[in-house]
Amino acid sequence: MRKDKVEDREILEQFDKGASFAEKAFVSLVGKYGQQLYWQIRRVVKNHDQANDILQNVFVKVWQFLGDFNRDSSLYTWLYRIARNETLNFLQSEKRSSTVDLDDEMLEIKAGHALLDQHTPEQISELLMQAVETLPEKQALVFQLKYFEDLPYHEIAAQLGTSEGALKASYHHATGKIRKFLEAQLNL
Amino acid sequence: METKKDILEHIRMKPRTGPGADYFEGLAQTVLARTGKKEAVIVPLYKKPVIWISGAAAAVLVIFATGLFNAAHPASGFESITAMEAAAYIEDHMDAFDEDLLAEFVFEESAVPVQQTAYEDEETTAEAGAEKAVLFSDLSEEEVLEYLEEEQDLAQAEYYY
Repeated sequence: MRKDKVEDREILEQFDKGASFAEKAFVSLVGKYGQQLYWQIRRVVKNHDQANDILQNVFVKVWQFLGDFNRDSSLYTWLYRIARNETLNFLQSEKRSSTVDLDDEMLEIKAGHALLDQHTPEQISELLMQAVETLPEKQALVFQLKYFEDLPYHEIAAQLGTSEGALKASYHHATGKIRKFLEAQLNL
Repeated sequence: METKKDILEHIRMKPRTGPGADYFEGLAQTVLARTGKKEAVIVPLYKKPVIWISGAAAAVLVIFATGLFNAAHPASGFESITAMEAAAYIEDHMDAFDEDLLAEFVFEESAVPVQQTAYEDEETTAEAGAEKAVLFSDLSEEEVLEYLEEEQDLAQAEYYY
């Protein structure tokens, strides 16, 4: 079975069996969500080495606490939250703000917008991540998956356990808030 | 004049230049190596509540089934209690029993008078007059559990596993 087809429920059931079953379940989980979590972290921190350190810390915690995971929420929401917290903890330990040092290779700015043309890509990237941080967790998550990961709605729906209609509404609100935030900050 | 809708359309993600597929494929094993994996925990059987509860219940059932207790106490009044009622009582009042003594009683080869372990509740404690001890070497743990599975719902047992 392809890794991306393994259901979260199957992973959790296997993990609960412990021993070698838990290891196999963990491998499936890392295979299914590792890349998304990596890029979620990488968008915030400076480089691969830092992203790798944080990501490993994330999955160490996942291994330790997956058995206690409250299955009322989606697994990916839980993983996203751990990754977000680990990233923030890392930045605090490095005595940085929450939105500095984006990898400047990740975003490109298309010329022609009056407000954007006055700032560097690094500044805009920083503001964009600040804007995402102002969103409620669910909207931030949807925005990350749709805008940065460019996932189709049906895949996001499967990961989050939410309907496509709700996702579209959530994404619409998220982009509206981000536009307002950027325009307000860029107009200063 | 730029419309408000345009700003996000001027910001795009570049093609990623991240780690290769081998990084992600080895990630899980790297993390497992750090955690030391989930070690199999060997739990002595007597420390699993369901095991010694089941064993104690089985012991009581055997006693009633063989009439040993009634033979020692003809007028004890326990002859009217069915084996299932006794087992149910034990489970319901397990908290009142000395767990260590029960575990010792069920799993040690040496004989322990039944009255000292199964009837420590003041409502049911009779004089410890039955000096004859019950040995459990004739019953394997598998036999005990098999019997209980036929008689009782062991759904609770799954919780502990």
